[in-house]
Amino acid sequence: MTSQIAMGVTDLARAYADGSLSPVDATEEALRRIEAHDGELRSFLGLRAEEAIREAREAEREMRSGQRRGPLHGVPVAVKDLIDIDGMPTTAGSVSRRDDPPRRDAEMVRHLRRAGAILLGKNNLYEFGLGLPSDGEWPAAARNPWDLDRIPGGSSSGSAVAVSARLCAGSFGTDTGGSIRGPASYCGIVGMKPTYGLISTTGCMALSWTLDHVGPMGNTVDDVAALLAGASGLDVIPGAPTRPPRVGVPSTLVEQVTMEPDVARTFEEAVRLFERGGSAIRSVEVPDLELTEAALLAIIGSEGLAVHLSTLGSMPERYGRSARERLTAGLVYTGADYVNAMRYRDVVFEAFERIYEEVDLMLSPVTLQVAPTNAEFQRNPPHRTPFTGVHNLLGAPAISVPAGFDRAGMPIGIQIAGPPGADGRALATAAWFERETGWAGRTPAVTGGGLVS
Amino acid sequence: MTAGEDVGPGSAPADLEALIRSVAARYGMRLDVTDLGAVSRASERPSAGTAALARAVGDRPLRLPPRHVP
Repeated sequence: MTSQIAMGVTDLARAYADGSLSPVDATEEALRRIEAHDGELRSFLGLRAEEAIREAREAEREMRSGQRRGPLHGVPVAVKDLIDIDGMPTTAGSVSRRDDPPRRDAEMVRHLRRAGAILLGKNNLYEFGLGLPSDGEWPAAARNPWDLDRIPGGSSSGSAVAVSARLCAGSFGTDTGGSIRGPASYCGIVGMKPTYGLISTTGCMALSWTLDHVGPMGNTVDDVAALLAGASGLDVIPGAPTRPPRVGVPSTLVEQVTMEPDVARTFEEAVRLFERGGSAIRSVEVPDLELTEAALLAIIGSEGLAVHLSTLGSMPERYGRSARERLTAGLVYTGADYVNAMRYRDVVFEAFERIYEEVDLMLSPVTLQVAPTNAEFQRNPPHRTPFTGVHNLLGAPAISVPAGFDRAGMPIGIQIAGPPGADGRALATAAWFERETGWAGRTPAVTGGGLVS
Repeated sequence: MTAGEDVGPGSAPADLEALIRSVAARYGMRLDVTDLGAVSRASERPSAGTAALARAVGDRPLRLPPRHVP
């Protein structure tokens, strides 16, 4: 299947403005692509095709009468199935919630509707945002469009796959330790965890109230900026750009961890590009990795167990094996462990206050490796998030932006992060990096070579 | 200190299992052998990490955001 419809937020907004395309054209095309490709990609758990077409007709009628709601008007998007949409159950990727009654819109979905977005449906995910997929369990795991034998990462797996394969113009995931940025890096798209609370989590199934963030995933930085504005209800994203930004690199941490050579090379090339672009590069000391990981585990373990305590006790057999084990592991934490982990956030805040006196932004890899094959993943699932999780503790904006490919043709991202409230600064710098490198807009060809946009 | 730590990561798994079972029972949770094995394995990392956390935070107070913060 080939199509000349460019399935991106800003591309569609431009096509609607010049009259070359209508919201109904784009929505029908998205649904055609889902029908053609999602059998093997498995990026959607629920579709609302009829409602989406009806909403697209309404958007078209509004446009014809001269009403323009902004860049998301008439644009087909999706959300991770932890986020409530009116009239659909929120399964959270779990058999235990598959037969739940329909929900009402999450607050961020209400913002999306006001912005005129067309809601196509719900994306696949790791169970409750932490249970690793397992063969034979529902839902079957989403597959990476760049290589169907590889995983797309998680937990916002389906959101990343649907955007990467151009089945929708944008999607929303949630990120508690890296669950937007990891899949974005693995699938060659842009994924952003904004400042804590910038997109409301009301109406989103919690994993950790302290660390959960809702964020946009798109094929370009401009798309992600438009999605962020639409879902937050803000006209202007906070955080003034700085040009060229002073850039901090966590050199000790980079040396401490073991990265695949192509990931390390891509990161080094990105640092050199910033240097050529006029940025002063400074080595900065981030908080101790072991302590950061311990705090994340204690908070997610304790809060995740609290979220699930009653249902995990009453119907453990309706949880997937991995989710049940990981949630039950929260039992090992004492109240003092949880309090100390919350107190440790102050150590992180103070460390980054010092860092952001010296630099405007932080640059790092996103993950230690490219997307592993499913077989590798089942044998030895990557479990460390040395570069992403600390920004959840901090509640700060962090973006994964495509930065290159490895020798096997798998995408690699880099992370651009800033202090809380500097979302606009991080986006502007990511947009600059995107323009300088030209990685944006590359499409995977594994689904019959047809996903041309 | 974690629940796993007062028996220690190197201690007999039976002690740890008994402790985990007692905590689970408080919440009416039924645990099977697989769950217990997973919890035992999972307790090894936090045991070391949370003890280090306790040292790292020193005498800092706990600061939670007020209700009006989103």
